[in-house]
Formats: sequence, structure tokens, C-alpha cells
Amino acid sequence: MRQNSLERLLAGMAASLRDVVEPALTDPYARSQVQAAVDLLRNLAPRVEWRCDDLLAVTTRLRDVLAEAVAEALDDAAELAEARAWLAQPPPAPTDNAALVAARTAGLRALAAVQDWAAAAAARGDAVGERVRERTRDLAAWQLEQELGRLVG
Amino acid sequence: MTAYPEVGAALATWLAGKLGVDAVSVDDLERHAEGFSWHTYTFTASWTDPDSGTPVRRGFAVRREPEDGLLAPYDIRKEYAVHRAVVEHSDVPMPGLHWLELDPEPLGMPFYVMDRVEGVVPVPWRRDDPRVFPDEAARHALGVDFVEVLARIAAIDWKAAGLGEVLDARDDPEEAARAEIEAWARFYHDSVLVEEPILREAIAWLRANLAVSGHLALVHADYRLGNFMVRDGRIVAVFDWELAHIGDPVFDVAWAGMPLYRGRDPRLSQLLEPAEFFALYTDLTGIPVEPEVYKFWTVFGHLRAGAPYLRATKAFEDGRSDDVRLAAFGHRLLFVLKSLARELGLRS
Repeated sequence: MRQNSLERLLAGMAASLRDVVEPALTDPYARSQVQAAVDLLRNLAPRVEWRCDDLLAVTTRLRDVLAEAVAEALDDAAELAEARAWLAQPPPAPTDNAALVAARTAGLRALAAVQDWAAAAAARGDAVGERVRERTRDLAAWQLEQELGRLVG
Repeated sequence: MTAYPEVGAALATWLAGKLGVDAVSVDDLERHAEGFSWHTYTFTASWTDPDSGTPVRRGFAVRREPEDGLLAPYDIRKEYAVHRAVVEHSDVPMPGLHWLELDPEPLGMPFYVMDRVEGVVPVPWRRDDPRVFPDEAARHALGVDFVEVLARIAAIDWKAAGLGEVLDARDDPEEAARAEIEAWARFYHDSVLVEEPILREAIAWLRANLAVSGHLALVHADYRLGNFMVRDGRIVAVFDWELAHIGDPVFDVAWAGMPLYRGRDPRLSQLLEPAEFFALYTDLTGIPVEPEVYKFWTVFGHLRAGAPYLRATKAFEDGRSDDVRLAAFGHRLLFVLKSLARELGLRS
């Protein structure tokens, strides 16, 4: 669900209902339902946002794992540069939704680079790489459980 | 009168040219909407044989390249060449093949024409379809047929069939597997909007745990419920060769066993128990299904299944489509990740 932006999801659903579903309906009552749904979706867009508490939980976990990776790594691996840069930024305010979304996305991108680095280091038998890899695996598992907890159907 | 009148009219004109007749009538035109990429139409064509003057009626199917889709970019010439090679070099049940049209003018994109096959396509979400599974004995018999057809695919002499060049084959099984990992890692990287740590972990795991059977064969790469047709309890056509390649044949076994296509049913593709499936496959092909190889290709299968879902959400986000089914892949991906997490020991 988090792959798409909320704005695009709402706009796309409205467009699909308006351009695909409504023209295919012949029943006036059904058409009125679709028109109302389109109206609601378009007016929801400026009023809703992804949950800040979910985003804050992810960015807090990311900060812990990335900080540990950077602190433990003795080399100056380029793969860790993004993590260092991300950690150098002040954490977003807990209610600043746009900043939290951006921090979540950038933090996960930094984590991906750390995952690559840790996997390569672990393959060389590097104990730090092994430890960081376990932490990234734990984070991946935790994040999945968070997402599954929101899954309906 | 037919649905899609513009498509029907274009096909009638085009087919008359191919058959060398004055006129062709197209009826019963249907677009099959199961897929998210290729457009498939079936229809009945009628014309008068110019030599004998007798009327002819014949069913055809058209497979048209999509403009965009889950697995873009597409190459219809490759799929056509694979289809032809399988028809000419095996007894795998396939629709008879006719023409390849590379000119996009008639239908908007290149397409090819084959025979229409009559039957039922069993799908994963209708596990007890009475037309296909009237009883458990029928399910078992179809499972045996499913393995036998898969063994015939693996037995195709792909070099003799000219598929080495068409499919850019590698000579070494491990090298071929590594190339597949890197190709799908690139596909993931090019598609993902918000990083999915579980899929990143899967890529790292695959690189560190390479395990192959040591064989190279033609791999269908999407051999499962939904991609073959059944009539009178037997498979009469295998479809959707768009991902076919030369690789480890055990991938097809692992893909048939993907939880995505069997749910909680332990049987591979809801047809045969793993032990029976593996034993029969090995008897027929001489290729053992080793647990570590099966696991390797199962983990790979999750990457292969999940990455196109990400491509779909990206197409939606970029505004290239308002098809909300593409956006819905964003949350369906969670089912792939859930199953993948189990394979990686991240979930009980």
C-alpha cells in the first residue's frame, strides 16, 4: 500500500470510477452512487494523510539500526554514506506528515545500501557485517509485521 | 454484431489478405481479460475457399503485444520464436501457430495468430471448479499430466530448436542463475518507489546461497494453474511463454509450488503432494529436486513474483495508467512478502 502516494491513489480511484465505471452503468441510481463516491474521493484528498504514528515508528527504528551500523563499521564504505547523511538530518517533528513521509522513504533507501554492504561484509566473514545484517533482518521482519497488522482482507 | 467492432473489422481485413480471399467475416470476438499485459482475443473467422468454393469456419486466437504492463518491455518476436520451437520440437500441447504481424497498423501493436483451443483454464482462486476437478481422482490425474507436460518441456533440445540464440542462453548453469538474480535485482531496483527491506534481503540471500541442479533446459517460467487449458481431464494447451528462458528446470517445479498459487494447500499448484510430484518429475527427467535447490528457486520465485507488482505500482504512480488494479498490487505485495519472510526464516 505504501508504494503509491496517497494523493495518487485517491486521484486514480476517482479517475477510474469517473472514466471507466460510470460510463458503463445504465442504472441512474448506480450512476449517482459512483458520482458521489468520486466527489468524496476528490474532497478527501486534501484532508487525509498517512498515519503519523506509523511513520514515526518506522523512522525511529531506522534511526536505531542505521546509527548502529555507522557506529560499528570501521571502514569508510561508500554504501554507508547515505546512512550517515540521513542520520545527520534532525528527526522530523512527530506531526510533520510530509517530513515523516520523506524521512521514511530516504531512510529505507539508506537502509537498502546498508543491507547491501552488510551482506557483502558478512559473505567475507566480517563479524560486524554479520551483526548489522541481523539487525537489518530484524527491522525488515518488524516492518512487515507492522504492515500486516494494517492489512484488511 | 460483435464486441470490439474496430478490432473485429481490422482482423477481418487483415486476415483476408493473409488467406488470399476476397472477404472474411469475424464473429464471436472475445477479449480475455485475465491478464495484465498481453491482449488476447479469440474469434471465429468465416470465408469461402477460393479453389473449391466451399465455406470455411475456423477458430483463431490473437495475442497482441501490450503498450505497457507488468513485465515491459516486451518482445513479440521472442515469444513467437519460442512458441514455434515448442510446436516443432516437442509434443507439448500447444495451439497451432499461424502468422506473426510486426506492423502495428492493424491492431495498434504487433501480434501473432494461433488456433483457438477449446477447453477450461483452471485458476488458483477456483480450487474446486467442478468442470476441471469433478473429484479427487480427476485432480490427481491432472496433476500427473501436469508433471508429464513439464517433463516434456524440460526435455526439449533447445539448442537444436535454435533457442540458444533467441533466448541469449548461457553455457554454465551457475552463471545462468547468477545472471537471473542480477536481472531481477535490476528489475526490482528500476521499479521500487519505497524500498522493501524484505526483497532487498532476498536478493542478498540469493547471492549468498546459490544452489542449482546443474542442468540447463527451456524453462517456461510461469507454469502453474491459470496458464494451461484442460479438456476431458487432460492438458490441451500451455500458454504464456513470455518469460521463457534457458535456465534451471527446477525453477518451473518451485514456481508450481509457490504459495501464491496454492494458498494453504500443500499440493504443488493444488494438484500433487510434493513427494509424489518430485519423484515423478525425477523419474521422467532424470533431474533430482534437491531441497536446497528447490528452496533457492522458491526464494527467487518470490522476487520474480514481487518485482512486477512494484512495476505495476510505479506505472500507476507515474500516471501511465489509472487502472486501480495496478495500485492494488501495492497491498497484494504483502502476501508475497509474508510468504517470502517465512522462506527466509523471518516469520514462523
